[in-house]
Amino acid sequence: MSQDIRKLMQDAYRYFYDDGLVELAIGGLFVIIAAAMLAMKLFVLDTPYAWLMGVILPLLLLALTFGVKRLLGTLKERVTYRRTGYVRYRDQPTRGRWIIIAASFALAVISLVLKPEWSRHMSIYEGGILAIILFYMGHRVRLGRLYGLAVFALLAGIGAALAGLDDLTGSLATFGLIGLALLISGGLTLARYLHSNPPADPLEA
Amino acid sequence: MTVIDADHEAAWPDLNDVDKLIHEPARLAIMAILSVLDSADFLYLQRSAGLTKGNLSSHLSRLEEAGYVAIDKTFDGKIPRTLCRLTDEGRESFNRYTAQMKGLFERLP
Repeated sequence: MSQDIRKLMQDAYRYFYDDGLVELAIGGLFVIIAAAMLAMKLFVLDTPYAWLMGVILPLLLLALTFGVKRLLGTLKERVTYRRTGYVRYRDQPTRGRWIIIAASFALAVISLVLKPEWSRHMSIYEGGILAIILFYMGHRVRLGRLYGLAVFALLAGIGAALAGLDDLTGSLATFGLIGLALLISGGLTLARYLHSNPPADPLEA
Repeated sequence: MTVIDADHEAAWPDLNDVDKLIHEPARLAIMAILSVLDSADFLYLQRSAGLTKGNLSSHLSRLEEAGYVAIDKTFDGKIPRTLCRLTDEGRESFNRYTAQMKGLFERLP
């Protein structure tokens, strides 16, 4: 029996990330967003319908976020809960999360107002904001690989900016790279999880 | 009497007040896990606390009898699921227990 009470509590917090499904879901979301940006760039940007991008991208993001949440729930039911058990988390106060997100956006807006020429490096902001969110997630559950992904997100944003890409290409490169990194990290975590946790006897739950 | 002796004397009554039901390692593990969750099923508790089915079952029964844990039997499709959660009383007792233990060890020299 495990006697390390602190670790048991920490593991319960971390359990949501044990199977890598969260990273796979978010990574998939980012790759689809990048693909949508690429499609817009190739087929819509230089046409009279370019304004559609401003409508389609936010709608797509909303629909995907909703869809990913449902898909994640279904996958957890089928993959995780049957292997290592079901948990339901307590409603956590979301104030801290919103403060982090709002502060990141505020910082980005203030710096763009003070230094408008920095808007040429939009991908640094995108990578930076995603890095802060990933770092915050990692810090909450003390999960090393999320810190690593946060560093990668920042580097991807900086890399896309240094490459001298236009705004849209820089954004799609940033989202695409971060999405791929999340998919790889999630895929490896899921493979390890499935390998070490064969399905349990249904009667055990 | 030295300062250390006085501290020890003050600490002993607290130790006597410690909830013995929670103080048992397996039950403490179950309570600690459930304290950070809304609920967990039997399988999760068994795996993370590292207990056998029989052991977990018996400790859960003790905690349920004390009113610290509520157990609901539900179905996920055709699969039975035993959901356990801390009651308000259980959560309060666990918080009191951790505060007592922290207070106790803080006073050690």
